[in-house]
Amino acid sequence: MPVLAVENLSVTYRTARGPVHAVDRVSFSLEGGDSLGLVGESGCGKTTIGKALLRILPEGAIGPKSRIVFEGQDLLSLGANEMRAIRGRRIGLIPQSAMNALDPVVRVSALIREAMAVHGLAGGRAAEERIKSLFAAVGLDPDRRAHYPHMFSGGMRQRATIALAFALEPTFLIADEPTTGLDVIVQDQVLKELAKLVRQRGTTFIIITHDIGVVAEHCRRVAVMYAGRVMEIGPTADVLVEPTHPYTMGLQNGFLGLRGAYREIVSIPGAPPSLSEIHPGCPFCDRCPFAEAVCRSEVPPLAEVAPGHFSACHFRDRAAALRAQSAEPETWGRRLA
Amino acid sequence: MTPLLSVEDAKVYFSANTGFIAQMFGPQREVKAVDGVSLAVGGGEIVGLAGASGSGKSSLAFAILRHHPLRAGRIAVEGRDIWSLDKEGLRDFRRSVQLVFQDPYQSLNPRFTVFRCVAEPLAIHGERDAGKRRARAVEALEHAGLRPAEDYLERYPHELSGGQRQRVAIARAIVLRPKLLIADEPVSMLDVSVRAGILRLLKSFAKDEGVGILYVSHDLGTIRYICDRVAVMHRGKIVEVGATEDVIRHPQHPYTRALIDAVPEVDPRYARPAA
Repeated sequence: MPVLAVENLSVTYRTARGPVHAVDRVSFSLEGGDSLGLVGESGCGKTTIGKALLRILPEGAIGPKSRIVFEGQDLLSLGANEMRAIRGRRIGLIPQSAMNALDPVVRVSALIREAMAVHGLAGGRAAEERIKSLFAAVGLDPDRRAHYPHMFSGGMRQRATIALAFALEPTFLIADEPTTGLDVIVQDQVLKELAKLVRQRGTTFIIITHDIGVVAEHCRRVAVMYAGRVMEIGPTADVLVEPTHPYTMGLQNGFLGLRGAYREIVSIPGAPPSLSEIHPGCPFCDRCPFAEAVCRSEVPPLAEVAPGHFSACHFRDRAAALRAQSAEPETWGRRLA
Repeated sequence: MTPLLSVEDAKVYFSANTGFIAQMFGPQREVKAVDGVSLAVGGGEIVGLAGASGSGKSSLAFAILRHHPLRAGRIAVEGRDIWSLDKEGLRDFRRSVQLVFQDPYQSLNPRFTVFRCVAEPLAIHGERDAGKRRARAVEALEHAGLRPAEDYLERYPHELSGGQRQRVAIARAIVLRPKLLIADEPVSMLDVSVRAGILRLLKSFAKDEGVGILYVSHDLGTIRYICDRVAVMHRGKIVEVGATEDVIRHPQHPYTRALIDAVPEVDPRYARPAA
């Protein structure tokens, strides 16, 4: 049985300008010890999924047919108190812009101690020992545990939020853009500390990021999202080496590695569609160089193309040919007047 | 031939003393943000300035803009020392050196329309004819890829996407037809699918119009794509400089190597060496 099963998750934000369908019928599951990277551009719904799992969305935002089953419990049917016992404790969170996630007027150790006390974990001297060992585990000097956040650099604050998340020993962890804002060298160190911790503890995790490189190195599976939908999901190496969805192909074109041969950078023309209405077809069709009539009228189902590898493209059977074409800048440039 | 920009043994130091008492009476401690840097950028050339946070790359960029005084050394644009310009020379300097900031969400005045954002520099530099200001703003916006410009003129920054905002910021920077553009992490806040467009735009300014660009970034991936040469900064000094492809493929300095090795690899087929 999977640790987490998300079925048919839809999230709609009610705004003054009307509804915003941030997540549209998303399903995926994770086995214990598995890792998933949620990638996509701003506004594709990846952070909203993380919030849905923790149930920190506005009341009524999650669609009625959605189900989130975590360790056998349907999270969406739990009461507020039951959910509070899971949030942070069993499903941990490393928040986006962790740089600002710490309370500026509370000492870091006091913050961690409070979280442990709320969940009835360690107190007193035992808590202090735990904090020391957590600091050491994330590469912070344990003697600085009683410092205030402003006395830490960005990378150190990031490490402190990781220590805070692990202090509650979650079995499942959501890391939302865990290294955004850090420079490459610090990012690399922090990700390595994080990877070591999840490996040691067998934590199941989701990394939400726009950086394919982070996913390529740290997640066993990847889900590529666009306009609230999963376009492609599968083992990371398969999806990145042999993408079957034109959006994944386009996204990859924009990434500039350092180790392969020099190549032209190619962007996807256009902009993501409005999320105020549900699209009758594939949400990517307006920017897709391979789109045909069927793409505008029918939603392509997420169907298996290889073991464990699913793609929501009408032309997934022609993926090899599309990959060859998508590597040519002209394929994408043609549509750019 | 005199390069467009020449930096010779420049030093920018900041006082590390905090508080009035320490400033007045304490021992003078200093942070050597830029510590003896020499660098040149030619017309039509794109030079990358790479380095981690705190390496001094932004301090150097701001010194070139005359925002930080030099402790020692010399910075010259078109052969003229930027610290010994007369009034007229200073006005020329401020027109010919422009900056594109990292964050288009913060660099544009939220209460200005796109037109006002882009036309403001023209007014400051004495263009009194409103019709001409409008024509120049339209030209700059279209040049920056916002076409037709009329659709954007009366809009406010919050109505635009991140990529569009950065194009407005670029239009504002090029409206005075500068010779040197300093771009400080111009794409790091943008989504991958729009980055390429901005980078190509910068590249076309250099290649088609001979604008020199100093591209400040810690992202070697985009530096590799856009820069002819790259200078790697570490602790206020340039530790390595050379043709971009050479530096990335055959880094000589251990710090350059560390910077390259820290970049996660996108393609599983080129897995980077395990630490």
